[in-house]
Amino acid sequence: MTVERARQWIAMVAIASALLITPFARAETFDDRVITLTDADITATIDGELRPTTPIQLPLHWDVSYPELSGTATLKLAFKRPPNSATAAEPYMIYMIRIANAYAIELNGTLLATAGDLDDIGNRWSSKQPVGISFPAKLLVDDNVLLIQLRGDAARRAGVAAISLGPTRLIEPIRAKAYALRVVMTMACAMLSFLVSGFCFLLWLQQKEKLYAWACIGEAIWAIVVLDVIWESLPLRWTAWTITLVSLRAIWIWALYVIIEQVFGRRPEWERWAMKVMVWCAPISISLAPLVNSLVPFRTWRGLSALLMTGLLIRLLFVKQGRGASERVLLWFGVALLLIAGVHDAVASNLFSSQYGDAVWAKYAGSILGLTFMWIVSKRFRQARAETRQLHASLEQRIEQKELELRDTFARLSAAEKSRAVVAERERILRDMHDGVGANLATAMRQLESGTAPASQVAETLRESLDHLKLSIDAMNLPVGDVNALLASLRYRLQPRIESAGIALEWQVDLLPHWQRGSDLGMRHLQFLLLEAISNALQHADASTLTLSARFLDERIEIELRDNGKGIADQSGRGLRSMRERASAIGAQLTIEPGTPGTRVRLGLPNIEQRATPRE
Amino acid sequence: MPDPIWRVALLEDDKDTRAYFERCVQLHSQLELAASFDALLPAMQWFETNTADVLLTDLALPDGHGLTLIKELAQRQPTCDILVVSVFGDEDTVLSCVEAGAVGYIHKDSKPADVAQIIVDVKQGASPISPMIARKLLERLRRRTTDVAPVHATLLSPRESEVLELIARGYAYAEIARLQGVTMHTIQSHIKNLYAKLAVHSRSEAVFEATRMGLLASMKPGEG
Repeated sequence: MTVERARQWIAMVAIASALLITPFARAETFDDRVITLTDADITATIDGELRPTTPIQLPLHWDVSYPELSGTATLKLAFKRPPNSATAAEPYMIYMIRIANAYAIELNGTLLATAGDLDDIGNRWSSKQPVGISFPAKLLVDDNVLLIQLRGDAARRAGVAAISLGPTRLIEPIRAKAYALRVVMTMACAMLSFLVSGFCFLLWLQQKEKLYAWACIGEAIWAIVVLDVIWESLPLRWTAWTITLVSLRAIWIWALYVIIEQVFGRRPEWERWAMKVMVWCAPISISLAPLVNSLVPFRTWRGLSALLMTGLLIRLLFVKQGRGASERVLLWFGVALLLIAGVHDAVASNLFSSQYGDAVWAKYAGSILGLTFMWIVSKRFRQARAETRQLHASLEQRIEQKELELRDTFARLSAAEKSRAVVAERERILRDMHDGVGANLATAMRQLESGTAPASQVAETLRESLDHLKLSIDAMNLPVGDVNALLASLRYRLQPRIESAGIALEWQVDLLPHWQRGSDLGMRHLQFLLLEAISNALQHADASTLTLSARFLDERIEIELRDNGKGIADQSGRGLRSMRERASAIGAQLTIEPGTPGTRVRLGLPNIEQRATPRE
Repeated sequence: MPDPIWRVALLEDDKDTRAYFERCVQLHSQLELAASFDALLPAMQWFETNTADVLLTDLALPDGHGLTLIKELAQRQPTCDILVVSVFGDEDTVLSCVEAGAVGYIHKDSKPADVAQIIVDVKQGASPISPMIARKLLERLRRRTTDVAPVHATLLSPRESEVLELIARGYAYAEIARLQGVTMHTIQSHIKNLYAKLAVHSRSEAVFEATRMGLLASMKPGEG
């Protein structure tokens, strides 16, 4: 439910309440044809003991006349014929704003109405709503006797209000007004509380806040308490129902206290204990009533709790911290109003018979408090939502910032990685130049300067340096680990030189598997190693055939270069030393042995995944 | 039937290199030097009114880049085969030249007889490919076979695929012919079939298509 919708609800309920209240302003106008009966003779039987007949004035307030006693009574009201009733053709009516708990009404020996069980003390049913009984005017005579039989339960607001008698046409509007004011308005108040309770429940479903839960419980209880005022057929017998209702009211008080804490801030520990004790005492004190046959414990509790609440209200005036001044002021006045109404109702219902039949104030005060709850709750909900949104926004912002940082870090890392790669590449090229072209050029220079080397030898040296360069360029495009491609490029580049040396090349290259350790650098080492071996054969072997074979055997790539020349004499030359170094760098096994005839250079590349990084 | 004479035009800014290539052409009985230039502009002007069978061209020229002439000539004179003079014959340079319309390259350090032979071979329809390019082609075909097998699986016959594979492993045409028990001519025709299967008719289109597909034509592998 959105906050806007909640506001609409509040507005609608307020308008509805105003519309309901407006027509029921007190305006009881009596025609002279309507008479009011207040003089009665009462004969009561209290606890099985017949009391002597005494004259009384209505209204009869049982709890005032027979405090804490139950019994039955017969009221006899004698009256003269009402004016103009002799010729009246219209129906007449007897009207009482309240008569309780059970009754039977007789006019001149004719039974007009009966309601409830006249003998069963504490019966579930009790009359609570205004009573109007129509009868034909011809029942009226010159000297009339109205007989009312009554059952009165202790502390159950039994009794009879002043009786109006007159034409139905005139009395019925009065009855209808009283009904609207008491019954309809009470139901409206209860409905309002139920609505507030449901509203708080919905909010609680969204945000599991203590405030919403207790407001929901409190308002639901309040609705039942208010309904009790007009609820005639109770679900339990009087004693059990009273205990239940008082217990519910105790829970309601605790709910109110929790809400006060939510608005005014946490209360001191001793005060919370006092409140808890008070709440627990409610069901205990009321449960004691039937046992000790006295309402004194309960009344004491009621008085003390009123005092405690008054004290709490006074203490709340001095609270400085806490949220929202408007919330505090509203809640304070709401509670104060209810306290006053509650005290008024308690006093009215117990002490003054003249107040018998008056509407109960507390229900209106309770409705105002309920609206206050709703206002506080919806305000809190709105705040909480705003906070959530803000939190959400700031989280998003933080994520965005983190993302930016990450991107920045990544950019810096990749730039560093790139520059590292460039440096590595540069080092590789420099090494290649140093070992290959550089060395060749230096040799060519020496040959030229010495003046003794023939031109063909210098050309050979230079050609070799060009081959070096071409192979270096090929190596940039060689797929890592593809020994076949490496050998093919080597042949493609060296073919003219081999051919011009007048040597036949035998090529026996199988399809080889991917060389696991053939990293970029490993490939370069292998390429240079083989180039060195072929150059050696071309320059020193004096051979006519050169055979290169490659195959995969026993998890090794075996490369063999064989010539049919004069064989190798000295294994300590610079070229051979470089070959050994490169072989060990790629973890290869290099053997150089005399062939029959010539020289056989064998290279074994292990091709099993190894954990140790090769020395490169 | 007497051997035809091929007219060769030369564009090379380095005086010694130009002289060297001029001599290579002049020494071969089937070749005739039609024109020789040291800059781009005069060469382009010459081609506006003249034709040649072969153009040997350098790339870095004092007044422009050789690619300009290659592109124009490939369009205007498709019968003129273009060979690029290169020091290294590295893949990237060769690829861009073939894209522009060249059919291959000649190393600057090639021996005179080799230079002349490459020119004559190209004019006689040889379509040699280097092992490096053969490997690239195989890679691409394999990828295609796994991707969209039904469409391209039949692009190469098993025999053609084998030939390509042996070239990629460094074998020369003659060796492949011996290994497979066929003639050198059969191998040449397998290579030619590759062009046919690419559904290409003219030579320059074939080169263009081959380049597009990763096949680089007119590179001379080692002869075995």
